[in-house]
Parts: sequence; structure tokens; C-alpha cells
Amino acid sequence: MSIEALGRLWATYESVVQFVGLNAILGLSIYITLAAGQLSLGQAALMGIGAYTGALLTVTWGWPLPLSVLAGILTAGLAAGALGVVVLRLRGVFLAIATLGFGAMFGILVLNIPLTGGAEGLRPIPSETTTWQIYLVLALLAYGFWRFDGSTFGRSLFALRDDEAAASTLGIDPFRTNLIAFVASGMVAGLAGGLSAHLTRIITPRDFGFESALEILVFAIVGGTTGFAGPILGAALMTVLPEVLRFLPLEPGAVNLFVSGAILLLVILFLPGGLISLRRQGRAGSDPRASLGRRAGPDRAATLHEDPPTPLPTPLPTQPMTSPTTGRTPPPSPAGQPSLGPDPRRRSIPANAMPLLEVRGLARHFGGVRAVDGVDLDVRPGEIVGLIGPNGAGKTTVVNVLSGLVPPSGGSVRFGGIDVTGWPAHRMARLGLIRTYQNIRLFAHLSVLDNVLVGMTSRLPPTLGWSLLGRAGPHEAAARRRALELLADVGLEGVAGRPAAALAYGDRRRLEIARALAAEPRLLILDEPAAGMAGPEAGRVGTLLRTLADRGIAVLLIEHNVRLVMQTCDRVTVVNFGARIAEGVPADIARDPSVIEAYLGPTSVDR
Amino acid sequence: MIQLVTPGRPLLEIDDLTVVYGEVPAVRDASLLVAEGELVALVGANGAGKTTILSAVSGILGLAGGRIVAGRVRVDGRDVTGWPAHRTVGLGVIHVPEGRDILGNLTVAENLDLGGFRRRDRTGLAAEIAAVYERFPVLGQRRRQPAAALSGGEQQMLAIARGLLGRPRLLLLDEPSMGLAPQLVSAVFAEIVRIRAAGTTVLLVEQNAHQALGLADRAYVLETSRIVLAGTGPELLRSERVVDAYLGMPDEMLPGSLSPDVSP
Amino acid sequence: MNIPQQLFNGLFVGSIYALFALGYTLVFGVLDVLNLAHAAVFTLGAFFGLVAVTTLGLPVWAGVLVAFVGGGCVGILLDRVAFAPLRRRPDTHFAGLISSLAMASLFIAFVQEVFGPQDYVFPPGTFPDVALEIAGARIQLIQLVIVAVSVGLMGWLSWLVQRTRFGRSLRAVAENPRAAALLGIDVERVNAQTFFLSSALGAVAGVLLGLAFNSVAFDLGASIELKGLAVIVVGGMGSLVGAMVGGLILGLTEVFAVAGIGSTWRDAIAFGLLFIILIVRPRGLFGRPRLRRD
Repeated sequence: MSIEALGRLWATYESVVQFVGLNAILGLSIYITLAAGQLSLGQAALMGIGAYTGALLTVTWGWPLPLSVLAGILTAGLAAGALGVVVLRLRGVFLAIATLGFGAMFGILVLNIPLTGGAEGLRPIPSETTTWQIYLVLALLAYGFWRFDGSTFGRSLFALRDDEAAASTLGIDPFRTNLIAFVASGMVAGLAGGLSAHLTRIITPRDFGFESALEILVFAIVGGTTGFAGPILGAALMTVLPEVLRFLPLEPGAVNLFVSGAILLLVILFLPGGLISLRRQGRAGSDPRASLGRRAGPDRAATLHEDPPTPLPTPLPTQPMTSPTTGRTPPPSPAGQPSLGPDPRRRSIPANAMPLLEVRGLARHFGGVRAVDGVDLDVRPGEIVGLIGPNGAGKTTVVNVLSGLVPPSGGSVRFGGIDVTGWPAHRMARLGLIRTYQNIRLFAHLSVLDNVLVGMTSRLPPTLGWSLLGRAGPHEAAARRRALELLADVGLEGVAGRPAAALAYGDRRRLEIARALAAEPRLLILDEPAAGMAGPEAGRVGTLLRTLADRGIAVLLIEHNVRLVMQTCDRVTVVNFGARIAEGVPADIARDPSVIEAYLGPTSVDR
Repeated sequence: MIQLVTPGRPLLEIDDLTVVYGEVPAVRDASLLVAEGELVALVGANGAGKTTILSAVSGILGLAGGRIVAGRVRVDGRDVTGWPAHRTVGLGVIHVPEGRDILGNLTVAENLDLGGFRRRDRTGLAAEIAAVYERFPVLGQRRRQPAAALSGGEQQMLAIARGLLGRPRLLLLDEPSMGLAPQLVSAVFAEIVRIRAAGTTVLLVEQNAHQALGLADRAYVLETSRIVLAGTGPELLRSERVVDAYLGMPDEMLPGSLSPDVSP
Repeated sequence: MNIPQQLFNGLFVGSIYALFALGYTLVFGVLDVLNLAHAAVFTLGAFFGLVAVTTLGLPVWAGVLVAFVGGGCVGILLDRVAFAPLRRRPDTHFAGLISSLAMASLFIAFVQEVFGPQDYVFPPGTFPDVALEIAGARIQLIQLVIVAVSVGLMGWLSWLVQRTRFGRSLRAVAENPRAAALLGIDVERVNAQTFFLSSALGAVAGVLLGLAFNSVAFDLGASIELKGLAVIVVGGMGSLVGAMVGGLILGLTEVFAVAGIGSTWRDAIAFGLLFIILIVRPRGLFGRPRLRRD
């Protein structure tokens, strides 16, 4: 093919190449919100805000392209922020509907105010955007997103998508994080809008309507939302395809609609991860981290079953191990003493030590059911308190209320001397109240290592800035080291690169504990950590808890395995039908007839 | 495994059942038998697989993401393995699940009416509902209120009454005493005694070990997804292994009748 | 301002909104998913009626019946293809939105391919062109009939859901599918029935709108799509009463706003209401706190 022919080809298809780039930028804009699990259908309107702002500034005041595009970015970001404040309290389909409503409002607005030229739109806009500018911007964005996927912020978003409750009980503020994502997403959409206005030279309200919003969504869904490459890929495919289909002798509108509908349906039904999940599947076998995990995993697991866990390493120097409330330094951890064993006699916690957690008259009602109805509970630093009671006694509801997932109906909670009654989960977590879940709630799509790193989020400064510079940064590097140490403590460092969902049951429990420790708890609440474990394995959980308590961490243990509770705990609180029925040291509890009756029922049975 | 000679014709037969959630096995190679007219208890610690066995019989395993990978479930000689719930109900298998599953948005009367969803005799059903109101006057007084307004104990009574209106041949009861105050627990057990006396076959999952084993003709003990022990109620009441499997309860906590004076 | 005239016009537009929203909200209430193909079914319904009356030469009431049955069958197809396979996925809400959007594209592409982009009208004399004068309002007979059919269908659906055995099974599935299954209710069948009813009502709304303005085109649903969403949010997602009241409120507000301040901002009213409700009372006017567990 001659140079001349190539030139002709380029002249014909340059606009297709330009639109691939623009649409890829749009795909990236919705990717940010989808990464956090929010379906926003307002992207087209945000793009429109960027486009109209840029176009008006250029046409009316003759601003140069970079400045007017920048203004478009900022305006769209502001609009997205305002939208986010209103709609981010909503969930799922409500959020999608609200953003759709926002898009419709924008359409009506630009159609009816004189400034924007109504249905005729704005024209002519001086044409300035060039192909290489679009691709330069796209390359910069792609680089940014590549770093974003591995930053604290990126991880927080992915964690929110996988399990918002679990993320919030590790200190991630869902509203704030989502709002930042919304603003960032709006800014990228505004950028695309500014560029497109200067490319097409005409903008009309129709360009930013419902159909455009859907198109943008299709880019991201078809390409996949588990990595930044997905939306770029999807945009490329969905932009090029109609050009190819133009050669078919069919009604063009119908064909495009049919093809995009059919691809979308096939992807959602048969390839939920989008196009990039194909590549991921193909590559899994050769991923060095994955194979490392497989090789090292079983060995380590085997050793864990023989030895008790090694004592935890001293934590990062940034974490003071002195309890902030009491100033009491915990006894030095017994260095070089590998087996702590079940402590024969418990250290006495000074009875006058100020409780870290003070619960008074806690109540939570659901309709006519009083799940929790007046529970008192104290936990002091360095103390292990057991919370036991038969099924349905209200134990898990107590934990849900304490961790801020469920607001109490009555009573008070003080933590470290502060009244925290009714505080949301992420604030409780940031104060140092960290919990695990009875049914194990990991971030299934994140790697084992990333799960632990998410646990550290609230203790780390943002690392996105460093990431953008292409480096791990001092905090991120230290965090990774610490995360690997924590994984080593629970015997999972060999599988650090595997997705959490691929772990076996016991390993998932261990990972959840490592993740909780990564959040640097002052009070650790464990909801049935030994469920599904056999005797000796459960005993190792007890040993681990003792190690933690010796470091000054307060532990609240909810457990059905009464033997484990009796052996491990300093004090035990028993609840039944929502209320506390006994409280004391294990020996007394074991002899309390009301406890025995609660568990096993009255001894006399009418037959 | 210990096999016992059971009285009567087998109504429920489970052979080598294995159930998984995702990749995690919840029940392994479980075999059990419930004969017509018997009250059989399933006991074991949390997560041992009791609820999974009931769900596999009634056909709601799929809703919780579970799957039968091996084994067979037969009701009255018919292979019902993998049947959906609405079909097993047609055979007279009524499952009152843990957590009661009261329809809180519907009225008490509507809940009871749905108990007889598959019945054709509307007049018979109406008479039986009237009888329920007589036996539990609270339900009668609140028949037009949403069921969510009932207390926990009242909801449990409603759940059991609703189950009985389906005319069960085999009643699967999952933790009927859960979360109830002692006097309500007694009322629930009195109701179970009455159901049993009326000739209904019952498979009972209960954490209230004394009561359950005291009532049951026979019982099976589950430990970490396997059936490890079977026997008559009184036998198991004296078994150390039961208490161990149940709670991992330390010796000092064992009351007299459960102390390990009899070897298993 | 001719108040009775405006009232009637509002009632007329509102009853079509309400009928459309009723089907929309029914699926959400029972299955907890949003069916974004509802507007496409609305369009299909108008074409079913059109074909029945023009090509097959059926009387207009039969056209409405054809739309009802045809729409219902499309609903079952929607359920089987776009919703049932996704039912047990953890992201079922999200996936259902997307797959229903895809189905909407396919339906509209089909209509475009078969009927092209032009407007169609019903043959003259499809409906007697009679106007009545009631309390100073001039009312077309067809408008009156449409209001009557809409209100009748709403009443019928309310009776069905509140008073019949089928309705109880529907509400049982809506609240707790496991409990419903254990009572002997075939949950999948109820799901299919729900889709049938929902889409049948949506399709009838489509043919009624087409008759009212004597114009049917492939983009008929575009005008009502977003407004229908606004109506069900304002009324309370899943609430049948809410959909009816919300539809009437929107119809009346729009008509009076046009009479008062002109037509420029008419379409903004729906979304203004939507945002006010989302901020002040996110569960809507008649929504109740959901008891269903996620």
C-alpha cells in the first residue's frame, strides 16, 4: 500500500480513531464509580457540563483550549460533587435512578436556557482538539488509573464494592470515599466533554442525553470493571463496530442498537467480568504471584497445624502499644518463648483499671422482637471477655450495634471514655474498635495481601500521590512489609497473591483475623472465630488471643465453644433472650445454674 | 456408624448425603432414617450441618447457595433428591425454618391462610384456622395486624401453627426455642409434645439438648458436618460425647445428669 | 383557566402515567429488581395494538386485548432471558438493570427494523370521534374511555394483589422467597406471573397512549421512560398505591404547570419531584421500610 493510500485511509478513519480515544476517556470516567459499586447514569450530563462550559468560554470570550477545558473539568467536578452529596445516601437502583434524573434535568436545562442555544446547540466552536492531544490525555489518564488500581484509594473503592459493611468496619468512610470517586469521575467526564466540544465543533442537548449515558455504561460493562483496561477496551470495540457494520444493507439505527444490545446481553449473561476477564483467565496460569502462592501454600498450612503460631512481631513503630486510656504498658512479650500455651492462670487485670468499652442498658428492637434488651458490658485493655449465650440470644446483634452497623434503640456505649452511642461504623473503627464476622466477610475479588492492606487503610496516609509518581512511597512500602508479616503470623504469606475467594475455609478465618489486626485494634471483637474448627485448632485461636491481650489489646470473644471461652477468658458475660443473665470469672459462670439452664434447658423434662 | 432397628415404616430416608456451599462441604456422608410417627432429634454444635440437612430435605438449599453433590433423599419411598420446596410441600414435608420466616408485611390471618396454600378444602382450612385462634388467643386478637408486630414467642407460635395448617406428614422444626424466654420455651415444647401425640412425624433440630433428647424417640449427633452418633433419647442424654459435640463444655460445667458417669 | 378542563386533562395524562408505573413498580416490589425494558414493552404494546387494528382489522377493544396478552408474553420472555439466569448472582440488582437495558435495545431495534422510523396512525373511525361537555370541560370520548380502562385495570390489580390467593402468594414472594417456597408456593412461577402482569399493563398503557394521540412510533416509550421512574420513586418503589397516586400527581401537576407558567419547564416537574422526594423521604410517599433481607 502506498503512502498516499495510507493517507487517504487516515483521512477517512481519523475521526473513528479520535472517537475511540474520547470514548475511552468516558469509559474511564464511569469506571471510577463502578469500581466503588455505584451505578451512575449521569456521566453523559457531566460530560455535557464540561462540553458546554468549555465551548461557551471559547466561543464567547475566546479562551484558549487548555484553559476552557480545565474550566470544564472543574465545573463538571463541582456538579458531580453537588450531585453526590444529594444522591450518595441512596443505594443501588435508587442511586441509578437519581443520576438518571440528574441527566434528564440537565437536558431540559440546556434545551431551555438561552445561553446554551437550545435545541440548535452551540456552533461553530473553533476546532482545536487534535488526535495526538486526545491520545496524550488518554495515555496520562491510563497511567493514572494504572497506579490508582494499586493505591489505598483504589483499594478502598474495590473494598466498598465487594462488601460495604466490612469496609466500613475497617474504618473506610463509605460516603466520603464515594463522594471523592464521584467528583473524580465527574472531572474525567468533564474533560472528555471539553475535548469533544472542540472536536465536533457542534454540541446539542441530544449529544448528552439518556442514550449517551447508556452508551458510556456499555463501554465499561462490555470491557469489564475489574481493571482500568476494561473500559478502554470496551470503548474501542463499541466505537469501531458500528463502522464495520455500516457495510451491512440494513437500517443503520436498528443495526447499531441491535448489536450493542446483543453484545451487552451476552456479556452480562455469559461473561460478567467483561472482555478483560478473558485475558485474566488466560493469564492466571502464568502469573508468577499466583504460582508462587500455589507452591508455597500447602507447605505453610501444614506447618501451622503442627506448631502454635509464633508470637506476633513487634508492630510498626508508629503504633504506640501503650494504651491511650490507661497509660499502662502491657507486659513485654515473652521473646524467644515460642509456645505460650493455654495460660495456666490468668494475669489479674487491675479491677480499678478504666474500662475501654463500657456498655450500659444496650437495647435493639426489630419490630416486636427485642433482640437486645438491656445488656451491660465492660472490657478493659489487655482483658479477654467472653460473651456467650444460646443461639438467638442476641450476641451478634450486640456486636452489630457496638461496631456501628446497627444503631441502638436504647442504652449507651462509651469507648475510651468517649460517648460513642450511635456512631457510624467507620468512626468506631478509626477509634480502634475492630470486629470480625461470624460468616467471614472478606473482599472476595481482592488478593489476600490487598485484603490486609485494606485493613490498614485508616492508619495510612493517602498513597495515591506517591503512586502517581510511579513509586510505592515510604508508607505503602512499609504497609506492604507489615501486611506480609501479619500474613506470615497466620500462615498465609505463601498465598498473598491469590484472590481471597479462592482460599479454603480455615484460611479465610485466619485472613479475616490478620485483616482485623492490620487495622490496629484497641478492642478486637471476634464473632465465633472458632466456628467450624476442631478442638486443637480452636485451642490455637485461644493462644493467639492471649498473645494479643498480653500486648494490651482488649478482646471481646463471642463463641459457642464454651470450653474455649472458659480456658481463654478473664471474665465471661452470659446473655439470653437479649439480656444479661450472668457475669463473672469463668469458674463462677460454670457453676451458675441459670447459665447451665440457658444452655441445656431445664434438667427436668416432662415426657 | 451405629444403625438402629427403627420401629415402623420409614418415612424419611437419607443415604450418604453430601452437601456443599461453593466448595465448602457442610454435610458429609450423612445417613439417617425417620420412621412414621417418630420424633427424631438432630443435635450438634453451631455449623455442624443440622440446618443444612433439613434444607436438603425440604428443597431450599439452592436459595442459600448450597448443592447436593452426592447421596439420596427419599420421602415415603419416593426419591425427592433436589426437588424444589414447593414440590416437597406437596408430599407433606413442612419445614419451619430457623428464624421462623414469618411474613411480617402480611397480617396474621394471611400468614395462616398461606399455611394451607396447597390445600383444596377451604372450609376445612377455615375451621382449623379458627381452632388455632382458640388455642392461641393472642393470634386471634391480632389476626388483622401485620405479623411483624407480634413478639418473638408469638411469631414462633404463628410459624408452627402455620406449618401445621399444611397438614404435614413430616414436620421439620429448626430451633423452635431459639431466642425465647424460658416460659415460652416450655410452651413451645408443650406444643411439640401435642403435635407428636397427634401422630405427626417430627424431625427436630434443637440446641436445647435436655429438652430435645428428653422428648425424642431417637436422635443423631452431628459434629463438624458428619453424623458421629445415634441412639435413643435417654441413651444420648447420658452420653458424654453429646455434651462435648454440642458445646465443648468443660467438665466443671456439667450438671449431674450429664456428667460422664456412663461411657459412650 | 378552565379548572374542570385542566383537572380532567391532568387525570387523563396521569392515568396513563399511573398505568405504566403500576407495572414498573410491581416487578420491583415482588422481585426487587428494576426492569428498564418496561418502556420498550410499552412501545411494543402500542405496535401490537396497531397491527391488530390495522393489519388484522380487529375492533379497538380487541387491539387492547392483543396488547395485553402480547405484552404479557414479552414479559415472560424478559424474565426468562434477562432476569431468571441472574437471580442467584450476588450482583443481581446491578446485572438485572444491565440485562434489561440490553433487552430494551433489542426490542427497539426490532421495532425499528420492522416499522422503520416513521409515525403510524390508527385508521380513521377506529374510535368514534365524539366529544362530550361535562361541567364546562370538553372531553373526547376516547379520553374518557382511556381513563376508565386505566382506573379499571388499577382497581383490578389492587383487588388481585390484596384480596386473592394469588395476591397473597405474590406478596409472600415479595417479602421472603424462602418462606414462600416452604409454604408450597412455586416462586419461579410467581416471578413469571409477575412479569406477565407487569408487562401486560405496560403494553396496554402503550396502546392507550397511541390511541389518545393517534400516533405510534418506535420512540413512543422514550417520552415516558424517565417519567415513569420518577413516578415510582415518588410513590415509593414497590408500592402499587404509590404508583397510582404518583402518576396522578405528576399528570395533574404537569397540566396545571403548563396552564400556569407555560410548557417550557413541563418536563422538569417530574425530576424536580423526584429529587425533592429523594432528599426528603427516600422511601417515597407510600413506601414502607423494607422487611426483605438482602
